[in-house]
Amino acid sequence: MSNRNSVLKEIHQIDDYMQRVTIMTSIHPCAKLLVTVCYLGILVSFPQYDLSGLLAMGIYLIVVYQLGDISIKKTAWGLKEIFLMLLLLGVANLFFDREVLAIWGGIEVTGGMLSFITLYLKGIFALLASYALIATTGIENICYALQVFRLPRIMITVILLIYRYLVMFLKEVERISLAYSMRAPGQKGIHRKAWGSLVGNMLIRSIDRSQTVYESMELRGFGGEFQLKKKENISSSRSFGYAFFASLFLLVFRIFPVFEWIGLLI
Amino acid sequence: MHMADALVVPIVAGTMYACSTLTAGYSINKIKLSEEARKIPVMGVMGAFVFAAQMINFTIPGTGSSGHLGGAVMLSAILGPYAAFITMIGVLMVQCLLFADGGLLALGCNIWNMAFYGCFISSFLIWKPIMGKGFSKKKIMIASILASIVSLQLGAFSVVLETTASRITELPFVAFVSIMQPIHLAIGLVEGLITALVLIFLYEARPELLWSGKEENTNKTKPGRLSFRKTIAVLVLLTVIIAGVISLFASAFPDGLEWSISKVAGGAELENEGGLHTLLAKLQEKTALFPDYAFRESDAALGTSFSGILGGVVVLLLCILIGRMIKWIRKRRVTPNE
Repeated sequence: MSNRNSVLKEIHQIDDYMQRVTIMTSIHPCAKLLVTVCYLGILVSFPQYDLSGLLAMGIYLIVVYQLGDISIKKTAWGLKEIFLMLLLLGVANLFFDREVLAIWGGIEVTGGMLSFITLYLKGIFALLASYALIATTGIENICYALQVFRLPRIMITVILLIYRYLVMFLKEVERISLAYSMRAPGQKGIHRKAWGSLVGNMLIRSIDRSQTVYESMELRGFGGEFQLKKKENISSSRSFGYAFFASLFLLVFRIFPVFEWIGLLI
Repeated sequence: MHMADALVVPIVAGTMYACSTLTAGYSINKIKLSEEARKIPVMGVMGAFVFAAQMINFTIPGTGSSGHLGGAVMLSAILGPYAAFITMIGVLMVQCLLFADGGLLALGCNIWNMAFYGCFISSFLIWKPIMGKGFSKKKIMIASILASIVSLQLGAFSVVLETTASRITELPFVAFVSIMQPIHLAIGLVEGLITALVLIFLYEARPELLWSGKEENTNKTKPGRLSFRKTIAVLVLLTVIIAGVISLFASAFPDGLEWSISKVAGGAELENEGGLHTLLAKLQEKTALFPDYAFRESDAALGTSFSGILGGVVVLLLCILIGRMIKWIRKRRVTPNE
């Protein structure tokens, strides 16, 4: 139940972020999508021991989260469950890569330690970057950007329909689960005797509903595709500026060891 | 089984994007050529249904745990493999964008691992041959369980291959496989059983909703609105831009430890005498606070590497500080003191 609640909470949270007027919400969705994809590509291209290079990628997130007025701490905490998989995979590095690469203040730093930290940082940064994109853009605007990049319209229509019906179905699942749990107090999950009928009934209702929805949409002139429009308060200068400076930053910090130069000065 | 971005390198992500894109292009063409375009709203609603239904916990008898519905196999049994594949892409995209379940860059991998096997392998190699001339409860049960197990086993094996090819984990291949496969065998069995019972219920209530495995009404003379070649060309071009150009960064430098050490100790830029490097070296001699930190083999190397991390931490802290200041100033502007 908590999982369903957290999903609903997350959807409402993103809607709240989208209502805000910030610098990030005034940037064209295409620019944000392109920069995010470039960021992710550059992020994962860092070698597994290049910790200082990877740290530079954190600057982008700090700036974007500030410009978008999003709490980085709250977001990272919300994504904590996903870090478990990274932990499971990364922890193996500690045991299998024991080659000592450095000694920091008397502590031997192994390759496994470095690759574990970089794997974790890559995971966290990638999740935060993707979240920043959706929180400052919204699914409809992302679909608009995908449409501009010529993604097939069938796919865009399917994504939008899933998004629109998701909340409704989640609430329905919540109601069904609540009704079941009230009739079977203390029972964890759904008993095997009800597996087929419980979901099957919901499935049949959903299919019937989709037919009704389709007929209603056709009556209102739906031709198989949603007509998406660009958001009104988009600033072209900000969009170009964001795309230019973000790309420049990513290239400079990927090619040159800027942090090492700064570290040398310290 | 959702893969995060951190688990793949650009070249692996790009390759899997290309594979998934080609399959998606083929599926879209199939849907457009047939009368299945009318299925689009059903696909959207079914996608949302699968997403929500996967959040119902089913008690596994004799254990303290619970299982979930298998999405791809169930969608294929109702919508057919092509429409199910597109629907699964939609579900995975929403999961990735809204809930950070799987990364944006690893989406190609996730589509392949969770949608391709569940839709195509299970439909054409398991569901269709087993159903043969008609449905029966027994056939549905066998096909659903087998399809779930096979698709999850293949998906889990692909995760291992993609992660190993990306050289993300030091876990040996055999150890990784022997962890992943048995876990997903158990999950596949439970998912298959739940899916089978739902499909049997559907067969008893509304058998016409199940996919029979027969080819749909294909009208090859009717051209699709969007050219198949055009779609493929655009998608492949996008994939090349995303994966190829970005992966140049990865291939332009040697990988791993060699790259890291050569960059900090023996790289061309750092070896150059004069200019900024000399200036920084002189400054370092005067200002270095951590002279004791050093690589075992080379005194200079770790000092530089540690400096990099130190520099990074200092800059990040500065950024956070500046950010907080901006926020504070913004708040003061919004609510000025009386």
